[in-house]
Amino acid sequence: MIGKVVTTLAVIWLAATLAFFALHILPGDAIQGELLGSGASADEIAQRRAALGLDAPVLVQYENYLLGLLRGDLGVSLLNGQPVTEVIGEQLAPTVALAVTALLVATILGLGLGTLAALDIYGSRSARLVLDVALSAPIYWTGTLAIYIFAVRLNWLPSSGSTNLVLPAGVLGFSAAGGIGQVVRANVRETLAFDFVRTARAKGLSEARVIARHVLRASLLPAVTVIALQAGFLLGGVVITESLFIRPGIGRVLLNATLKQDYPVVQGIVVLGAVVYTLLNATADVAYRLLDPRV
Amino acid sequence: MRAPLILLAVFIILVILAPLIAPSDPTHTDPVNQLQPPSAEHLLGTDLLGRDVLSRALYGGQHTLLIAGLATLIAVVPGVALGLLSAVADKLTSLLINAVLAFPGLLLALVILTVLGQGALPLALATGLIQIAPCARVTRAAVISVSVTGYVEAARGLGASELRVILRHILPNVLSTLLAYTAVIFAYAILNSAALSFLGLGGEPGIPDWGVMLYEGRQAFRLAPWIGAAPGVAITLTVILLNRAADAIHHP
Repeated sequence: MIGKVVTTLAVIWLAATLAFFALHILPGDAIQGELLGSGASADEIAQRRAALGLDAPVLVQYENYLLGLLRGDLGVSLLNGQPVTEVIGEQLAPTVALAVTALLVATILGLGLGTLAALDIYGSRSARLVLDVALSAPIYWTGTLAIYIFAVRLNWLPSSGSTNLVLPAGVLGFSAAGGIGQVVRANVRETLAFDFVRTARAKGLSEARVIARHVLRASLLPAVTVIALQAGFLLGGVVITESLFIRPGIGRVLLNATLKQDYPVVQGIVVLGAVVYTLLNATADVAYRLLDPRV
Repeated sequence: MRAPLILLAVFIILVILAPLIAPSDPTHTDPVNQLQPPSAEHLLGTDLLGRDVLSRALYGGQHTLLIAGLATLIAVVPGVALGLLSAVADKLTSLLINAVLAFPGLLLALVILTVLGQGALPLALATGLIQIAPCARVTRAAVISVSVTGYVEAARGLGASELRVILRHILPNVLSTLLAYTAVIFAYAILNSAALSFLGLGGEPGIPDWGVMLYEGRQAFRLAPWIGAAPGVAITLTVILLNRAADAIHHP
């Protein structure tokens, strides 16, 4: 247990370090970009950078950054001086709403289609094809297509804005369902070959009951891990989805901050991402132990 | 089970033969005929500048598949080496792999593209480097599952050197897993490089490329959905075929 905590902390520390040094290799920073653009003198730029401690040697900056991290202080945005924790706090809600809804869509679609695709009944081949498309179609194209069909042609749903959750969550969830469905399909097929399934059938249970009570129960366990991994995938997916649907959120902040070289904001989001990723993995571990009596 | 491999080969040959079969020059602009829907003259329509979408899709495949192929090499060679190392050596490498996995790949790609600028090689590097860690993890898992088998223990028991055990006994037995995963990485490379182009960070606007075409198609998708449809379908089909091929290699 203590070993797990230590590894988790080490992974977060390494990710933060990686972000710090990867960003400090880049020439220039947000202050230079912004102030040069507004016609400030070299003197003013140097002053601003000194005020934020950016003129110190890289290792000193790294030390300050880590010390701040321990206190839960992620620094301030280079663009407007707003604390990074505040920037993230403001934008977190729409992203969490998008990711959770998408994960729900992905889980339902993935379990349903994956099970259907594993059996040999009417609709199985179509289910497999739909899963293939979900796994393979680029989200930025299915997203554009969804906007075209549902917003432009049918005019059912709005295509952008923070109030609209249906289209972006549907598109993102559909994409993540591909990975979940593939694993569920493989697991169900594997389970179908076990003796206890034959026993259940021999007892005279209906096929639907055999699947629901015996096969699904045994094959859904490994799906828990995949669902947690897909949650990690969703974090990357929100960057594209939020840009595509012009939704506010962490993904767009990350993209903007990277393009404008606003390092503290980028580092803050990387640390947040690493924390969420490791927590999800740990949760999947615990869930697995709770659900599987053998472990 | 051969079908996906054959279809994939057909697809690649069509793309390679683009100069012979494309109906027109993919960069030839014709403003008078802009945004034409599919017709006998332009089978897949024309784009904002009046360029033939079918020709651009064929030529675009060359650029996209070349970048994805390069990215796959960049990912697989160090990924497999690192995976072998971490499977036989120690916990430190696997900790490092996990840390990189916890790092948003898109961000790493953005940093690489900002440092190196736009172009084919930076794009291949950006998409390839972020796949090293997953590749190492898959290799590690495959190697560990083979390491505990009887024949590996037997080879060790007979006094074979560690290098010999890895090269002669472990590697041949994880080859099909690695080959299947290479197809998956190739598929990811197509999707990711196109995603970066779509965000406006990847390819140069002058060179036709599936990702760039999707980006251009996005700008006029309300009027002309066919511009994005060609590269969208091309990417989806190629990735489906690659995934099915990986499946066929893994479960013959």
